[in-house]
Amino acid sequence: MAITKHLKKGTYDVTLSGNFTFDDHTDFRDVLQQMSEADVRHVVFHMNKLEFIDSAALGMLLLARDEAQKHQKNLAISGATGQVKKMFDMARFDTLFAMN
Amino acid sequence: MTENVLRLMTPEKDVAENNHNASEAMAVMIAGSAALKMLSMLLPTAAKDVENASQDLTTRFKKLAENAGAQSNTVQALVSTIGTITLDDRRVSLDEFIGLFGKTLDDSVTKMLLVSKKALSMVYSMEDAIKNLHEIEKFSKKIQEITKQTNLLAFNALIEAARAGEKGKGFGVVANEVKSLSTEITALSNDMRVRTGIIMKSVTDGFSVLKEVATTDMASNIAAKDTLEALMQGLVQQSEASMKVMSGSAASSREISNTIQGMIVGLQFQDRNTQITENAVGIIHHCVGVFEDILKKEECLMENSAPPCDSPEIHKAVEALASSIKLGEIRQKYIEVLQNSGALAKSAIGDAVAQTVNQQDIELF
Repeated sequence: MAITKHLKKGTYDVTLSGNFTFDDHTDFRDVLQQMSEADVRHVVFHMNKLEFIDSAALGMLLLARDEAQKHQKNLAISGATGQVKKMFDMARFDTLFAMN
Repeated sequence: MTENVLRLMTPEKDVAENNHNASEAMAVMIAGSAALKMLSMLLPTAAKDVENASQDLTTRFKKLAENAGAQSNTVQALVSTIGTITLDDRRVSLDEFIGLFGKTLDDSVTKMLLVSKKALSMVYSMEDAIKNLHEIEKFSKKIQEITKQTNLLAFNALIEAARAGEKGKGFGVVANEVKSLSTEITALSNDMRVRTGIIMKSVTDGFSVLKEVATTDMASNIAAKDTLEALMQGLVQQSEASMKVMSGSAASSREISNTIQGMIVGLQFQDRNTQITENAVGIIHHCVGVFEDILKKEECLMENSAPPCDSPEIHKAVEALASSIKLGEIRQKYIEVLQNSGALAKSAIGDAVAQTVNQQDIELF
């Protein structure tokens, strides 16, 4: 999976593209680190270019949620489609994240 | 009576003709009287047949109504059974069941996600642990180098101490101490390296197991929830459709039962039929009595105008009346009554009348 990060005023934007699986866990850890250190209130994960997500990746997103809460940041997920959206629906992610 | 009036009014040569007319009139009354006698025998039989048949029908219909009613109750009970499911010890409605089912599936999914999250968290922790263990291994190497240096230093110090002689004795003791300390440190360092190696092995073994857990994709299990819920909905819809059909069936059975009850009530008309028949028979008996009175009076008045047995007048009257009887069976009975009363002979001639009459048969069944 390819990860691009963009820090602008007040928001930390992370764009994920390709397939998000267990193998991405080291890269994702960097995102978690930067997320907790960034001096922003809002964090957004952009998923429009994400094609596939497995259960390990769902676990990673939940870790991100915990981290955000620990550092009083708002975490939102946007643009989920196809298989990714299906997984989010079945896992009831709409009850855990702000989705748009 | 007829003859007396005629005698007073007509001349002598018409007396024979008047006698003949009177004879014909009497023959008609004999034929009519016999017909009425026969009717008085037929009607009660017919009435009894109707009574028996309707009683039989009543009994059968009662049974039918009972069966239809029982069926309705059975189906109704089925409907209430299908609408619920037994869970542990209580009955649960289908709606409630779906709710519980969905909640259980949601629970499973939530737990799976939790396992995923914790597994990932552990992966991160263990990666840190392994990194630190590597650092410790590096320290061990460093300690080895340092102790090697220290030993060399101590050795050199001992040589210098020996060169210094008496003055260097204290120095030599210190150098020896340093050397034994160094040896101790080396031993400890080796011990630590061995243990670190063991820990490293356990951690890396555990780490590969954890990686297997973390990489097990539970997406298909999570997806199963959707499939199961759809299945459940399908089953419930089917049950509800079945229940609807069965309720309709129970209602139909109940309606049948009610209709039959109505029919049973309607059948009791046969009571009235019996009454009317009894009345009719009474009237007929009375008519027969009247006819016989008239005939007796005429016989007394006219000894030679009473039509004898098998006379042409009687045949004529009988044939006229018999032509109005449609059923051959009843016509036969009529002839028998006439033969028994002596109006017709039980002989070839009497039978010939029966034959003529029977040729005009119009059988109804």
